[in-house]
Amino acid sequence: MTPVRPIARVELIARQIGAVTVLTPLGELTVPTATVFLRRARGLGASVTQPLVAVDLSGVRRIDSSGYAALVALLRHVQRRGGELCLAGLDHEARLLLEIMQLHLLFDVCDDVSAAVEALTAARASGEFRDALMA
Amino acid sequence: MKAIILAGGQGARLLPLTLDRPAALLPVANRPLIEYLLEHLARHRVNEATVCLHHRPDRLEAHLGDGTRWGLRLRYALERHPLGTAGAVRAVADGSTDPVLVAFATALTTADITRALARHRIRHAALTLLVAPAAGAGEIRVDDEDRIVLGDAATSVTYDFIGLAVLDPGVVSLVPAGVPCDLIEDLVPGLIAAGAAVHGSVAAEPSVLVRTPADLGLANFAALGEELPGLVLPGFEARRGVRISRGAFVHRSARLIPPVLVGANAEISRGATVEATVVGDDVIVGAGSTIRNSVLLARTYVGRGLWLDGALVDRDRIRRAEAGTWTTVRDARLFGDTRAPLLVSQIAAMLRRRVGTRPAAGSPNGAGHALSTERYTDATSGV
Repeated sequence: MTPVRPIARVELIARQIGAVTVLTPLGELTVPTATVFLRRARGLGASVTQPLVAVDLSGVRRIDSSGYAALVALLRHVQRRGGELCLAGLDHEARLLLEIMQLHLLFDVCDDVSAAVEALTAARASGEFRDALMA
Repeated sequence: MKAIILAGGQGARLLPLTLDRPAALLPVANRPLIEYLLEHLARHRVNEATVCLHHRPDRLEAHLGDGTRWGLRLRYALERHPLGTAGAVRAVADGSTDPVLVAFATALTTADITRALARHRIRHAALTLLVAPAAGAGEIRVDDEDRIVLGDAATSVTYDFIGLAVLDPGVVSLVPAGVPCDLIEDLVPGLIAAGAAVHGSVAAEPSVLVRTPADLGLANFAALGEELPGLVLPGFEARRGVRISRGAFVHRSARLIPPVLVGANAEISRGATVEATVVGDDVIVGAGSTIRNSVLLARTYVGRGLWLDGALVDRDRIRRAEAGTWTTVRDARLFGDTRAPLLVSQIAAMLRRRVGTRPAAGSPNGAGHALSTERYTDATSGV
């Protein structure tokens, strides 16, 4: 009898570190789960104005092109609201896919969540400084 | 002249490429490695060879047959229990009084065997290893009298063994029977310790002994760049440095930047760029993808808009030079097998849309084998 592959699931945990919303998907970011992830992510931290979002992928067992498509859609969503998004915690395979699909040119990638929070906070601070200068 | 070809190795360092095939059948410029060796041996008047088999012997024997294609008489010896490189030679040596030429089946070389054999005879050597200037640290030390030395002799220079050796028949009988014995690690030190003349013959021609995936990449690039004179590459030269094989399709908007070899029935889709790359047989490079300094092994599907540089790709497995590890990509939209059931229907539909008819029968991916002038016009115009 052919073993039945369990249905892929993704859970999404959101937490706030300073001004940064850290989204941690757990499970798979693949065809069956990508849209679910995107819908939940949009409903969580990415819905405020000028959101700073770090997506921690260290809990993702597997990510494919659909998962990255969802992340690109989330990035666009965040950018439309004047915010910024950073990826963190990518394993070797996820990084390879990112580079093969040339998405490393699109995303800011940090090694871990603390680096992502630091980078996003610094980017916001420099942006506000720039805005103040422009004004 | 007779030769013994050592083709029994498990190819452990080449895994997973050698899971289902012997290392000797790994492709270099879309031809199995061992074919180049057989052609080279035939050029140097070898007319008879014994092929020592162990890992996947069925595939190698089925591929090579009786050797008539290369003007050789091939016979096969199956090693049920591997006894190392020297042990295998001992097992198949037939008591001839002529020197024995031993060739590693994964040696890609155009070294002058005739000259090495002549030197072996003149020096009355027990063993002559063919070596080439080392790319790295080197494993063989040769002194200024061309003798192989052990340790760090002050006057010695390090070389790489290129996979060819000439043995005096008397030496073969010194190899212990039924006990594993390696040519380089056991026999050479043993002979030197016994005071026998063990020489190195430095080959001027570049060679690659394929032992790792990195070596396989080097061998492909050496063949592609025509660094090894005399290798017979497949396909025809559409323009300098660009070879196209039968049934290949290159879209007119695709760019091929030399040196490039496009394998049989391969497809380079709209807007793709392929530079300094070996594209294997039955490979599909998706629209808009950029492939540079890479080797795409047979049946690899590369999805749309991807970017690869310095990669060795075997269907859904990728090895990048800087990472040095294999990664399996389980996403059929990115990488896959062009003969996988999921893709066959997609490819057939794509071909129907492009050609406007059903694809020719008899082709694994439906691309057809016909040598159509239009296809080649397309191929060259896209170059």
